[in-house]
Amino acid sequence: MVKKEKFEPLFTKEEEQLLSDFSRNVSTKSSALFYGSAFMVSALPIWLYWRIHMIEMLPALVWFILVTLGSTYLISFAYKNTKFILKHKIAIKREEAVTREITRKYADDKKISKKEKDEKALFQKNDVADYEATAFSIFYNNALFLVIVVLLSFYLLKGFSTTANYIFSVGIASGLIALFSTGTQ
Amino acid sequence: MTTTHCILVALSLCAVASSVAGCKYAVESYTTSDAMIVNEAAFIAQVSAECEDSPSNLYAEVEGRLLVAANAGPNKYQVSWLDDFKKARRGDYYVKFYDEAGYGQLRKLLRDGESISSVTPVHSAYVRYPGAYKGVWVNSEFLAAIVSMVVLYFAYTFKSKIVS
Repeated sequence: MVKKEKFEPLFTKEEEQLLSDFSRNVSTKSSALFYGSAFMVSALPIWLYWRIHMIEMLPALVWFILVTLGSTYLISFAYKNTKFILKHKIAIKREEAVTREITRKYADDKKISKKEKDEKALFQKNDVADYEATAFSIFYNNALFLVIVVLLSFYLLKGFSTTANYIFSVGIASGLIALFSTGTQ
Repeated sequence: MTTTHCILVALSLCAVASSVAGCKYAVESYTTSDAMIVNEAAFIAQVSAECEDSPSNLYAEVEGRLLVAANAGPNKYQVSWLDDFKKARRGDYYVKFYDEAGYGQLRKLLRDGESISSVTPVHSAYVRYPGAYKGVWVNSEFLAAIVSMVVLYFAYTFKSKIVS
């Protein structure tokens, strides 16, 4: 007689939540959001160079594609890192408010135990922190990227040819924000 | 004979008087509007005379400056002068036009250091100078840099508060 082995889950829900918190991996939805935003921000300088710097579009097309793709990858890398750093800090700051809200919401509900309330508060806190960290990471990195591109393209690399100006401005800007995002603060 | 001579002289004088008095002048003016590609502002007044016997030469006086009008066609004269953009003031320049006789009187009075207000011009007009374009006050890339840096400042400040 074959005994059916019962597979018990390795981790509890709280432990799984903690593991996902401390992991740098993002969900598919967040990943799609990051790559989509990074692509839009990376493509924005193309308009700048076309209309303002009067770059020749056809000869520079290959560079546009290569630099945009590279910049998309680096910017999304920066998004993920910044989000990871901010998420924990935001979670700590929002914990009290979320707990208070959950307690108030389920104060009269006798069916839910304290443990369940704590679980709900934990998940809610993490959802809020995740959302806020994602939004702020995108905002912060976009602002930094655009400042660096504007300063490089109009001032520091002014004497370069337009194609070289584009490659170095966007490349250096995306590289720098990826580098800054690896810091611990 | 003497009476006939006097009558003839009187008639000719009347004819001259009536021809000069009958002249109608129209003035079109132009001033430089773009200071980016030139160093000085140009003022041009084109005068068209409608009369049977228009003056052979026309002269102008503007703000103490005496100018000789160039012939710009039949019964048309053109007066022009240049001024540095920094010195040229915005507003109306009063230009008085004189014929040969008037110009002669003007020069005599100016040489003697006397006032020229007693000399009547054949015509006067205003040349309006509204100013010339000297470039933008603020470059667009400078403005873009400032705005983006302000936004980054707020983002960085907020991030610092979160991280602290």
